[in-house]
Amino acid sequence: MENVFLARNLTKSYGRAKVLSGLDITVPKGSIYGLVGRNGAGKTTLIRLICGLQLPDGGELELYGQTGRDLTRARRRVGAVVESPAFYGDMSAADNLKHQFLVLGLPDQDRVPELLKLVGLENTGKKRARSFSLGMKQRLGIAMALAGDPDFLILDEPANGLDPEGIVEIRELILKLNRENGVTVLVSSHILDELARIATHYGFLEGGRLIREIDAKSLESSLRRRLHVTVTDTAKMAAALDGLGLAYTVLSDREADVYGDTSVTDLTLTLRAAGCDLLTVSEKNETLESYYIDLLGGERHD
Amino acid sequence: MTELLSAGLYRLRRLRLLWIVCGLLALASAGNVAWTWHATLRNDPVLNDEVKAVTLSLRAAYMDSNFFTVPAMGVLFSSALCSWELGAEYQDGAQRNKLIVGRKRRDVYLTALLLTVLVCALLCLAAFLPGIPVMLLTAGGFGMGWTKALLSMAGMIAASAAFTSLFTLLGLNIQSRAATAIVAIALTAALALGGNILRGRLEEAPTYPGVQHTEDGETLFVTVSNPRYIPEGPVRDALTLLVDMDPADQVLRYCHSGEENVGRLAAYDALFFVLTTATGLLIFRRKDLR
Repeated sequence: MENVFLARNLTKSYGRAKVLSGLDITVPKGSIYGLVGRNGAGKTTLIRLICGLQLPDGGELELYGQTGRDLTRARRRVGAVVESPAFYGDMSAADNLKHQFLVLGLPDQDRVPELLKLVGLENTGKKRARSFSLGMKQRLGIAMALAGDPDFLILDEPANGLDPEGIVEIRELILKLNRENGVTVLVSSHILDELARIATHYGFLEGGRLIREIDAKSLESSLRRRLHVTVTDTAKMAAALDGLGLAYTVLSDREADVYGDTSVTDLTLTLRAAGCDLLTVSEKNETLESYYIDLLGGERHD
Repeated sequence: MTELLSAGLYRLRRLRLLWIVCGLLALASAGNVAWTWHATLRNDPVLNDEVKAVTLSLRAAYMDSNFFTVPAMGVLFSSALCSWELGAEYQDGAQRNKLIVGRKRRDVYLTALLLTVLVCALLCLAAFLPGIPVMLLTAGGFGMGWTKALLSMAGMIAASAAFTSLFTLLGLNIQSRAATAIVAIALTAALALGGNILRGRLEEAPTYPGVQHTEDGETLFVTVSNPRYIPEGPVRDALTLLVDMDPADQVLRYCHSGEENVGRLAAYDALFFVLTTATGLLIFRRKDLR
C-alpha cells in the first residue's frame, strides 16, 4: 500500500525533556489514522513536526515521498488543525477563508460558500469569528484546513469542546472527505469510542514512541469477549479464576470483568465451588479503550 | 511571497485598529499645528518692529518643532501596533496556517517585515500630511525651509522603517502577544532614553569657562576642562556610531531640530534594517513554533 507519510527514528526534545524518542510511524494512503496516547505522549509534537512548525532533532520524515527541503513543497497537499483552530478572530468566517485562499495563491474564491456550507457555517454572515461558539470555531478551523483541497488532513483533537451533535457532524465530515474525496486523515483524539467509529488504522503512542501500529480489522479480531460479572466476593472469584487460567479485571469488591471463552454455566459452577455466588452476568465486547489500557499495562490479571 | 503579500494586504484592509490609529494621528497632526499656532499668537505677540524678526523666527522654530511631535508619536504607536498585531498572528494561530500549507519561513518573515514597514509608513503619512496644509495656512510654511522639512520627514520615515525591522524581529520570535508588546514598548523607551543620555554626553564641550580667585583678591576668568567630555578617539567614535544608529534617537533629533545629516542617518537606518532582519531571519528559521 502506498504511504502518505512515514517517519523513521524521529527524535525531538524541548530542553532536557525528550518528547519523541525514536518514533516510527506509517500513514497509508486513503486511511483514517487514529493517533492514540495520553497527554504528553508526543501526539501534538509529532503533528507539529509533520506540519513544519517545528524541526526534528533527528530521524527522517517523508511526506508524499519527499524528504528534507522538498518537504515544504509536499506540505502544499496538507491541511491541518493543530491544537486549536487557527483564524483571525476579528474577521468573519468568509473573510478568513478568503484570506486563506490568498495565502494558498488561489485567486478564485468561488469555493468559499461551498466550504462554509460543508462545515455548516453558511449563515454566519459578517459575525466575527471571535464570537463563535467552540463548535463553530472548530468547524471554521477545519474549513480553513480544507481551503487548499488537501490530500492529507491532520486533525488534532477535533472533537474538543464540541457538543454531541457537533461530534457527530465532524465524524460524518471526516468520513465523507475520506470516502468521497479520498482524503487521508490523521486524527488524534482522547475520545476513543469516537475514534473507533472512524479509524481504519491506529497508532498507539507512549513515552515518545509508537508502541503499536495496527489496522482496524486486526484490532477488531484481537478484541476479546468479556463477561461483566457481579459476585459476592471478588477475592474468592480471583482465586478460582487463577486456577482456571482465565484473565480478569477486578473493578470493585463485587464487580469484575472476565475475559476468554468460557460458558456462564462453567463459570457459575467454578465460582460456586470456590464459595462465591454469581449474582449477575452480562456479555460485552472489549473496546478500543480497554485495549489501549491493556496495552499500557493497566490493572488486568492475565 | 506574492501570495503571502496579497493575503497580508487583504488582512491590513480589514484591520480596524490600524485605521482608527491612522485617523487619530491625522486629527492630532492637524489639530496640533492649529493649536500650536493659536498658542504662539497668544503667548508671543509681536510687540514692536524692533523685535519682530526675532519673534517671528522663534515662532517658526517652535512651529517646526511641534509639527514633528505627532509623527514621533506615530512611530511610537507603530511599535505597539506592529508588535501587538504580530503577536496576534501567533495567538490566533494565523502564523501556523501559512507554514502548514508549505510557505517558506523566509517568505513568511520577509512578508511580515514588508507589511510592518507599510504600516509604519502609513502611520507616519497620517501624522504628516494633514499637518502640512494647516502649516501653510497658519505659519505660511516651514521656518527651516521646505527642503529641510521634507528631508526630515523622509528621514523620520527611514528611521521608523529601521524601528519596524526591530519589532518584526521581536514579534516573530516571541510567541506571546503580551510579552512582545511589553518588550517592544520597553525597548523603544530604552532606545529613546539611552540615545538621549548618550547624545548628551557626546555634546558636552571639552572645556567650560570658570573663574579663579587669586590670593590678591583678583578674579581671573579661566578655561576649565570638562571631566564629562569624552575625548576624541575610538571610544568616542564607537559611541557616536551607536547613537547615530539608534532609530529612536534619530526620531527625537528630527523632532527637535531638523537633522542636517539626513543622508548619513538614512544609511545607518539601512544598515540597522539589514542587521536586524538578518538576525531575525536566522532565529526564525530554526525556531520551534506552537
